[in-house]
Amino acid sequence: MNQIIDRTVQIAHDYLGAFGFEDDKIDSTVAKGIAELELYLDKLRELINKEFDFDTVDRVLHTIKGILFQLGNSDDGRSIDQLRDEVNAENYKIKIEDLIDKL
Amino acid sequence: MKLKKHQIEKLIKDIQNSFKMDYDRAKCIVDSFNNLLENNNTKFIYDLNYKIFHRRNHKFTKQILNMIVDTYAYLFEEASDDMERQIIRNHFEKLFDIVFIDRCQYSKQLEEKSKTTQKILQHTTKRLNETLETQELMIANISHEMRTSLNAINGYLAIISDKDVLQGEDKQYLNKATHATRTLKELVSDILSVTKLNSGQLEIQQSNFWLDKMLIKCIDNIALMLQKKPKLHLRTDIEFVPFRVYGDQNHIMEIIINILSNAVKYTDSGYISLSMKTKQTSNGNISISFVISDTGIGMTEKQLETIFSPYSRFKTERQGLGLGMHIAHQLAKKLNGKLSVDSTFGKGSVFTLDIDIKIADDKKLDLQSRNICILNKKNYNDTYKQRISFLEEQGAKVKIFDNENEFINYLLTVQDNVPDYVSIIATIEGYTKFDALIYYLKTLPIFSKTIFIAENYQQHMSLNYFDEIYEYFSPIDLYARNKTQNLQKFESRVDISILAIDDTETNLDILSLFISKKYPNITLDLASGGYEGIGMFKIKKYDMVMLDLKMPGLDGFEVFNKLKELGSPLPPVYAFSADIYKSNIDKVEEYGFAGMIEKPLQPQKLYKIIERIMHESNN
Repeated sequence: MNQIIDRTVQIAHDYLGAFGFEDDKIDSTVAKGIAELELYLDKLRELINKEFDFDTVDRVLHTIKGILFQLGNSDDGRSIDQLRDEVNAENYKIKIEDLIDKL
Repeated sequence: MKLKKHQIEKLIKDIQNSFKMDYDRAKCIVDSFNNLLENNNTKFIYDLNYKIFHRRNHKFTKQILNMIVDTYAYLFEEASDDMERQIIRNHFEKLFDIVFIDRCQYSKQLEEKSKTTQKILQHTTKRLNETLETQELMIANISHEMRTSLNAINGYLAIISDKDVLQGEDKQYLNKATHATRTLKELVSDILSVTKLNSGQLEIQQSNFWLDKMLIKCIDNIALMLQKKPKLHLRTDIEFVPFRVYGDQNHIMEIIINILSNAVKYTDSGYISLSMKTKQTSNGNISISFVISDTGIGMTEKQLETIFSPYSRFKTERQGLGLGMHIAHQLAKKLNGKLSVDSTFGKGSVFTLDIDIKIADDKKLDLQSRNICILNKKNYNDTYKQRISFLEEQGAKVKIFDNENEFINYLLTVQDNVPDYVSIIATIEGYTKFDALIYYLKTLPIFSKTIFIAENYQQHMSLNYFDEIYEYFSPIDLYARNKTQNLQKFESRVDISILAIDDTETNLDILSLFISKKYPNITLDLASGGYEGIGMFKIKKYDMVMLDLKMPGLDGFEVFNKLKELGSPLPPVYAFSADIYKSNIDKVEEYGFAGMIEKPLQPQKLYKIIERIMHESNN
């Protein structure tokens, strides 16, 4: 999970920096965004041990995707979006575990 | 058994011949051998062993062996009876065993020991490497965790600072805490960079970019540091490069900023000079030389030797670990470039970064039908002339004035071909005057889309009405900027209220960041859920609502229905979503949303919508 956080911090700084925001503002926005991203990644981790609930899995993935997009990390955002289409009751544990490994 | 006299003489002679030895020494050896035969005195054996060991020469060992075999063969032949022969045979076997077989066994043991030692060494090395890797990983992880936490601390400190609620000492403490956090963050970033460089994890990220724009960003990065040193000035000599290049902009910037920051750190007065010279190479690349010199404390020869080693910090009162130059040097290598330094103690240093970079396979800037008007009261150097030629080659119509009055007259009387860009390179006092002129011009409808640029503005007074302010030079791609991207300040003064409803705080933060930067007068209310949003909508009149479609509890469509049920006329409600699928867009249309704002936020699209609403509100 560290890699995605590292990547997103870096990308978010570059992305928001390109719009000319002040460093302080970027720092605080990125910090809060990353904290929220970590929170939802933790939720994703918890879902592996729970019974499959499409709405919950989809909502968590949707939120993670949204945060990644908003912080400028579109590549990872798109990967998560793709997973939303593929996940179902049979494969969700493997899919999420795979995703967590990749992140 | 004892040697006979003639046997002694023969053996002495043999030894003399074989080993080129004088009589006394040869006799001494034969006496010792006789003593072994007669009294079983082992001195001979030990001497022999020592000599073989000492010489470590297989030819010598072979000579000894031959001599022993010959000697015993001779004695065997000379033996008077079987019993004596048996004694000689036993003796020979014993001597041979002790001198050679034992030696071989000992050598084998040594060899085995050596193999074992090697194995232990290999194992230890492996363990050490594993430990180092683990340590690096651990450092990287800890650094990452620290950076994330520091980002949060820094961010929250900035929020407290923004609120401006602290007074006196408390405010000072906050500033100190902010400063200390930033320093710590820089250190952690340095450690992370070194770890990544050492473990080969550093990724090269290439993209097309303008060199002049990159250098402006580098200069911006040290602007605050420079402001704190009023006796220190930055000089630039940047060659104009009329095309974009393709390379790792961020890492080149990191190297240059590192050197520039060091220059500011170690120079209290005088100047820092940043220059860039280029040369096109035969393979279509461009060879660039960035030179950064300063009139700072300089370095001794000894310091120069270790400047690129990690943790080299010369003056302890300066901040930092001394990793910056090491990182810059390693990065330059990684980019197939070279960072070199020359320095004179007490006089200053010169750093040169030589790097080859690809010329971007790029389309031209489209400056057709762009009118650019320039006042240049300062200088017409080669770089300036090259920039003007380039703008004209790209299709822009450029009008240059060097007389202030003529320039002002032109702006006040122009009717057709109103400039899209007005760029001013004036004297320091001139800028304040032009700021007032621009304030007036902006009230005239014909200038509603003109961008006013202050170039070479090297002072710290604030200008209120210029759209773009550059301390040294403007980036060339500024003139290709879409006219609609230029937001007029009087428009931003229109007071409108927007309600944004989204359960993800980051979405609201980013939205707020973009809106408040462009439209500081807009009131943006944020609600983190459907019910909260409906509550806020009930008690306040909004000009626009932005609604996240996927939320826990009430989703966006349900919230929209409830807003409709409230009865009062609805302001434009925009769906705010990352799910840009046709089915979703159709549903949004069907429900009667005014439109869809995509995530990730596309600021220009958002600004267009806001401007339209402002315009409607204005009318």
